[in-house]
Amino acid sequence: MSNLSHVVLRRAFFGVLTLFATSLLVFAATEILPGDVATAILGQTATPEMIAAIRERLGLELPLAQRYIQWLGGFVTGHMGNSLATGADVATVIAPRLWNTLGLAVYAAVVAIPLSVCLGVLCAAWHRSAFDRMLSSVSVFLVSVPEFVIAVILVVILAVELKLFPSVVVRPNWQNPLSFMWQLFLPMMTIVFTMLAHLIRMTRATLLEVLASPYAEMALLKGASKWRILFRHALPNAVGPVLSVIALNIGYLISGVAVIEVVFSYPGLGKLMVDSIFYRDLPLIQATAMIFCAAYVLCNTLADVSAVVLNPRIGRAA
Amino acid sequence: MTSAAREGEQVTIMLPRINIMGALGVAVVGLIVLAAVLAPALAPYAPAKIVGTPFEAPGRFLLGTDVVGRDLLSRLLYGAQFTLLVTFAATTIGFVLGTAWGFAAAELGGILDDITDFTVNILLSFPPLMLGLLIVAALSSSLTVLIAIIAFIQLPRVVRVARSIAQTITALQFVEAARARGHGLVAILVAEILPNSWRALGVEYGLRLTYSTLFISALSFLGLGIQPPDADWGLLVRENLASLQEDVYLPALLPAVAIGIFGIALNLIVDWLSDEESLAIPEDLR
Repeated sequence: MSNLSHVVLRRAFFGVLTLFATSLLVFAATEILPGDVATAILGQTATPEMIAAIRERLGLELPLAQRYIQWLGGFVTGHMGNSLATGADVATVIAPRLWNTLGLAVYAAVVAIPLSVCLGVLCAAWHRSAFDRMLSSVSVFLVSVPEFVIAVILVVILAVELKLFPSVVVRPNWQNPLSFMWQLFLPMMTIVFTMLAHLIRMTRATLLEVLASPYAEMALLKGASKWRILFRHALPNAVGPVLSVIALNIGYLISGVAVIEVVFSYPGLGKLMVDSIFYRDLPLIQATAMIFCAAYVLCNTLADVSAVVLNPRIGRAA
Repeated sequence: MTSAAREGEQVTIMLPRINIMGALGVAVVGLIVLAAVLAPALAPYAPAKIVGTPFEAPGRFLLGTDVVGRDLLSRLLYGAQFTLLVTFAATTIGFVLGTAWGFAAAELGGILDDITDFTVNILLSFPPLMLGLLIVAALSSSLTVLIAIIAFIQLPRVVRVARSIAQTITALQFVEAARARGHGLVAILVAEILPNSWRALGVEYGLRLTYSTLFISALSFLGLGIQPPDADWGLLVRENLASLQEDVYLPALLPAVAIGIFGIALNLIVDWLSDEESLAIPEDLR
């Protein structure tokens, strides 16, 4: 087996292992939630007979391991149970929320990735210029401020003062792309600002590293222009590391998206998870937590794999 | 080569030359800590007392009032206490445990090191905020639980860094010499490795403080952190978010800006501490 596929397989195996650990954790955490599920459904006035009946129906009398396997099996096959609050099928509740979150994430990625790669290229080209220094100090500010603080500041300036964009998005308009983009402008900008700093820094660092290498110097001596070297030689080499940072950032975004959705009352998956925790809606908590953790694991695995696969040195050594 | 810190010898702690941004960071963090400690003396009103009408503009009250008419300045000052208490307590606990674990894994190696590596990788594969939310959901949002959760989330991150710092030191000759002299694990960790890694650890501690601040603020903002009528800065933003719909923005903006300023000031200190290269090994050992 080649070295490369060995690394990828190992990483994929670890990813699956983590997913398994995640499912155990999610199950365990929801198992020890204060208050019995049966009481949660029936309320405090339930008689002991009613509680016994519903425990029987939910299979709560079964041994823990058997319930775990049933739950996991149901989850994998799309039978995630019914919401305790509304009785609706969890998969049906989750589907539109998932689309909303994905829509926001894609919108943010489409803006953030080209923007930060361009800014990173400019920082590398004008290394140590005022522009470069200014962007790196802005980055320090952005990484040390939580998402919702950025969101509040954006809302104060662009929604309250200038009244350009709405400060809440209760019902995203999927019919009209322009109206959708306008509605989601502030949440999108919040995500872009939180991603920008890392992406610019990584693009810049990778490009500078390539520019300092002997072959870039050789090209310069041959008379190639700085821009030609940047785009022809440096940028293709930066794709791997930058993609890996993008994947890591999307992973990070997954964790932070709940906060942003709550700021804007946006009906996404993150807000659904937070609301479900308030209502102690176990099946919904389990399903949303599993989706978030799985997506996070997937992004981290992709980040590692892309760093390995797209690194020309490791690829050739294989 | 001599031991940088033989038993009984004074360890001199050399800080990098202070720069303007570093000084600014220290001053701001100092002021915020002072404001939190002196909150009972500085606050004009009790934090939970309703003294006016909702969202009053500054005037009668220095910064105006909050969503139910409590004095915003008083709530901000007392809020600092909760934000800082959770930040420092959780970071310190996670940091001390994580450092001890990471150092021990690096020094002992073998199976302990492998187990450490594996556990840390598993723990790091959970999205931190979701992990926090799940544990809060399972256990409740008491102050103790919140501190424990954040310490736990910091743990694998600290272990990883402490382990890699220690790995560069355990291979050095003075540690070898201490082992040959028959010193026990604790003696080696405390007398040989710790004095030679304090700076790298200091930088990591600063980063962890920032992270804890962001974390408790986010949890409280989601309503799953500090519980009313108490409030840290994150919860203050949440409580007053409605003010943005009424075109009043100070009550939501001020606590948000306070979190931002505190985070930035901590990062300025970290930048100052990590100003020089090769943090793990002091100058004379390079």
